[in-house]
Amino acid sequence: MVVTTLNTANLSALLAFHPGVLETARGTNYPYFDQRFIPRVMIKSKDCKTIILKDNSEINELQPETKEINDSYTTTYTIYKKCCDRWTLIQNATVLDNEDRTVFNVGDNGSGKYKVVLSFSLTYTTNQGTFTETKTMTCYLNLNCCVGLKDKLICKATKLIDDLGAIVNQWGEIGRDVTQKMKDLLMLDHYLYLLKNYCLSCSELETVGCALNKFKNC
Amino acid sequence: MALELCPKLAIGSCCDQVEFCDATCIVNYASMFSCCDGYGVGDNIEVYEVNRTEFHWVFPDGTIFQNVDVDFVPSTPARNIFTVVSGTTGSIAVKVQGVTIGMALFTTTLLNMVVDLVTSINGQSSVTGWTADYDSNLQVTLYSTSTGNDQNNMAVDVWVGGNIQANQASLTTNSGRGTDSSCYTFTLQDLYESGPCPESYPKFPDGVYSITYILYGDDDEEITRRTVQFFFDCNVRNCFKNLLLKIAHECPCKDEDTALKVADIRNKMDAACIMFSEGDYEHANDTIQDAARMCNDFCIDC
Repeated sequence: MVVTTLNTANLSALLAFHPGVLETARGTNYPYFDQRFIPRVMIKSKDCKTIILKDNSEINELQPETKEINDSYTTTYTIYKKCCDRWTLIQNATVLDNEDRTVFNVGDNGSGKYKVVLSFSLTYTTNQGTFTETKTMTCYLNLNCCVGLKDKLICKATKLIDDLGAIVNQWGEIGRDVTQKMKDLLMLDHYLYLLKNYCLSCSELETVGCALNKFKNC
Repeated sequence: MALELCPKLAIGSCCDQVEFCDATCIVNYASMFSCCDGYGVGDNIEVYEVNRTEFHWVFPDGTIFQNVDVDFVPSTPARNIFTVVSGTTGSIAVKVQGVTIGMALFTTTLLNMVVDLVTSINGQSSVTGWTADYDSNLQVTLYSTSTGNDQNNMAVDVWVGGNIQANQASLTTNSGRGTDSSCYTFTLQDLYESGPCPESYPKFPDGVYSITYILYGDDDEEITRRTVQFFFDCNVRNCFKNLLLKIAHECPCKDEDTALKVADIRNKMDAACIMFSEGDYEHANDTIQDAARMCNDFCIDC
């Protein structure tokens, strides 16, 4: 769970309101938070191992007149990952600051579909009492970390095989021993077979990619 | 044509499940000509007549499991049957749960009216979820467009006007059963309920399986059966993948014989597949198990 401390200095200004409006609002079930709140949350992932959320939501000022209030604003993030066609809870986090970023670790291979349920809660105290209002939003994120990687590796392995095949031909023509080169060719062919015939995760593709890179120095 | 059962088998990626599907052709009720050898064609039994099923399994090592009953029956859509009996003037309409799914006017003959009714129902099937067909006895059968029992017990009202008369055997839909697909996923527990599990538990061992699919009718008499062979190489394929990844991680190019030893396994895997496809089940069985043994015993020496 990630918890940061609320900085109320800016928020108090944001939450400034006209008391008359608020009184009317409570009396007629007028949703203060709902009218003044613009949810805006950034969700992204750059490395496929973490999902980063940043709450840039706005709570608009109603009137320039301010009133002394105690307030607290919290955002709760709940992240689900789709596993076997079911949404599985993977992490909860509460953030008490609308500026800080929240970082979720989603494992070594984060590929998959995610559902992020955001719950925004504002508690404020007025001369009418203390009120808490909550809004929820659901966002969906599709992390496909290996787009194109498999195809790139297939191209790479194919090119390595072509290049090495040309060397084997040249060496063969001048009578050099090509035994090891032939074994390398065979191993490259095994990796190509693996890439073409198996379903590989991101980390598995990376492992094959590393192995192919080392062939340049073999 | 005689009923040709079409069992299909597929392997789960973790080698612990085998999905069986009865892919036997079933007459598409909105298009009678799309199936020539399946359920409901000509004198063939209807899929509704299958009361229960059994399976006989023969494992690659010869172990036999007979009369395995997992409560599987091919899925069917809910239906309702009525017959137009007589009439020379008037109209007919069919409602399911109070919603009109089709209607027709008597114009020239009862048969034409039934044809018009079925055409009307099938023309709206994408919206109503019901199709229909008819026979020369003016018997009309309504079918849900989806299989399973969710559409059972729905009220069916055959409304007639003028002097048209119709008989309705049941006032509700029935006989829908199963799920969306006619499939069942076997695990080893389905077979070893009363006996010891194999060494490979929970995974099915690699090799050639023989599976017999048997259908029984209402009187519990066998209707028909079909035996198919099934090639299972899931374990060795997973082993091969993990082996190559381990080699890639630990010794990408400095080995001496690794590439050749891996080629031996790969060749045996390919050969076993070819043998199976050519019907040489005994050698396919031996060869895939050789490949599995070589893969399991592989010693990486970079």
